[in-house]
Amino acid sequence: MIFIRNLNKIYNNTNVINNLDLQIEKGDFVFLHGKSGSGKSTLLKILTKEVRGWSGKITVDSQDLNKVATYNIRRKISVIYQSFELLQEKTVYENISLAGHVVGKTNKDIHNRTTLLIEKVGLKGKENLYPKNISGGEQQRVAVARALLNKPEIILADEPTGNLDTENAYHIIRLLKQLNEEGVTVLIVTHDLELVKSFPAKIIIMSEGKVKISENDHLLI
Amino acid sequence: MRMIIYLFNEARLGLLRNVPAVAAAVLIIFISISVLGVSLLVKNSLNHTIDYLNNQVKIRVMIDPKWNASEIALTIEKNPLVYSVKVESKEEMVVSMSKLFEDKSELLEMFNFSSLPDAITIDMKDNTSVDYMADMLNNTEGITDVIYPGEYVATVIRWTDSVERYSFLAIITLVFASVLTVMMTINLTMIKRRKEVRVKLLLGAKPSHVRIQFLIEGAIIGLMGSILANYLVYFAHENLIQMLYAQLPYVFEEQKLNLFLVFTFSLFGGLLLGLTGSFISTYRTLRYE
Repeated sequence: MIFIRNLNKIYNNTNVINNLDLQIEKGDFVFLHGKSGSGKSTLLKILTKEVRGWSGKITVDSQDLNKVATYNIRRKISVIYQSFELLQEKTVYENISLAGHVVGKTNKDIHNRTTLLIEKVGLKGKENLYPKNISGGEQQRVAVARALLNKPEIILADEPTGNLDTENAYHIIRLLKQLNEEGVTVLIVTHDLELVKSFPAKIIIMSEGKVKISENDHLLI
Repeated sequence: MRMIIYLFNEARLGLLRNVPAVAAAVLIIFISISVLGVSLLVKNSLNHTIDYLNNQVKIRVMIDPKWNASEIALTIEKNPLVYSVKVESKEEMVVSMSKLFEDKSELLEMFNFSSLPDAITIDMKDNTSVDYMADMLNNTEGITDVIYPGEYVATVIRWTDSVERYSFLAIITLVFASVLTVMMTINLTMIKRRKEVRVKLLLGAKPSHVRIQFLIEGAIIGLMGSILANYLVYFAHENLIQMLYAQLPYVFEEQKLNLFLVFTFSLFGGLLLGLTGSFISTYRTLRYE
């Protein structure tokens, strides 16, 4: 599904990612763990083409990342952020449905899918509230629902529990695990080792821009 | 179609979220298009006067009936200060006088046409040499009278030329300022909505769709400014220019305003200003997407 070979990224003369090799299969549930500055978030940004100027080879679904249009790769890979990235002037419903509008889905499709996802993430009755009127955990659930609207094949979550209390953090990871069981490939970047230990998953530990440890050998090439 | 409706709706919401900057951009486009429109209107009305004054800078000489006007014209034409000469026979003069006095035939009848001389109209290369040329012609054999404008007319023409040149510069400056203001407004909008733009792009929006939304905003700003300017130009035409026609009928020539042409030109101008500003702004922001 995601194949990375000899990936290098240099920022200000520092090798943030250093000859990284990695392979993630379809249907994997992966924790990418590492300290700050280990290159985890940079890797996610490279995969969504937010960061450019890297060297090496990356393929997603056998397609060369460099040759796929940015919007196409972002329709295939959805991202969830620590800071939720919700639009404050839009309601819960509008934030979720936005994902459908920007790719040109019909209003009927958008409405049906949004309603379904609101129910799925447990936000029924809060559709018309604005992000500032709901809790952090609920905001992250809105972000998860938004990420799911276009039925992505892969979800990348960049420290999705970083701003949440323990209860909400576990709730979000359970939700992502449930999505994974429905067939979505999930890659979660986290520095919370306790969280990593609590869920059955493939674990990749990054340090100084390299994969140091992987729980499953097939993740390393 | 679905996408277009969505983009228009987003553009409308975007404009409503940024009212002060939008108002500033609309105002500057309104000023630019108004200055342009009123300048064109006044210039159009003054064309008659400018033509008249330009004709006054020409030197007209009356020829002694004993001399051949065409031969004198050939000699004058050789002078390096002369741009062109035109011989006007007494028959042609009768025709032009008939036009001049078409409503007052009794005045025309008072003329003794047989005593009219041939005339030569001399167009100078440079208005400043009129006095020198007139003196020279006064001393030329075969010329009975030299008719030419005084310093006053030449000064008026010089001023008219300067005004025309400077109003063109003012319009160019205002157009430039308009594009910059729209650009800054859209920039400001994009900075205020950087997160929205980023989220949309991360959700898989095509950069062209995001750009179109901002181009629509720029176009709406441009159209609003030019519609307001249309009202002002129309008001200026109906009140100011009409008043000038009434009070100075010999200076201002009354002309029917082609409202359709003026409005189309002005709307197109506003649209172009708005689109240019927002295109530059979005190009800079989205070029790496």
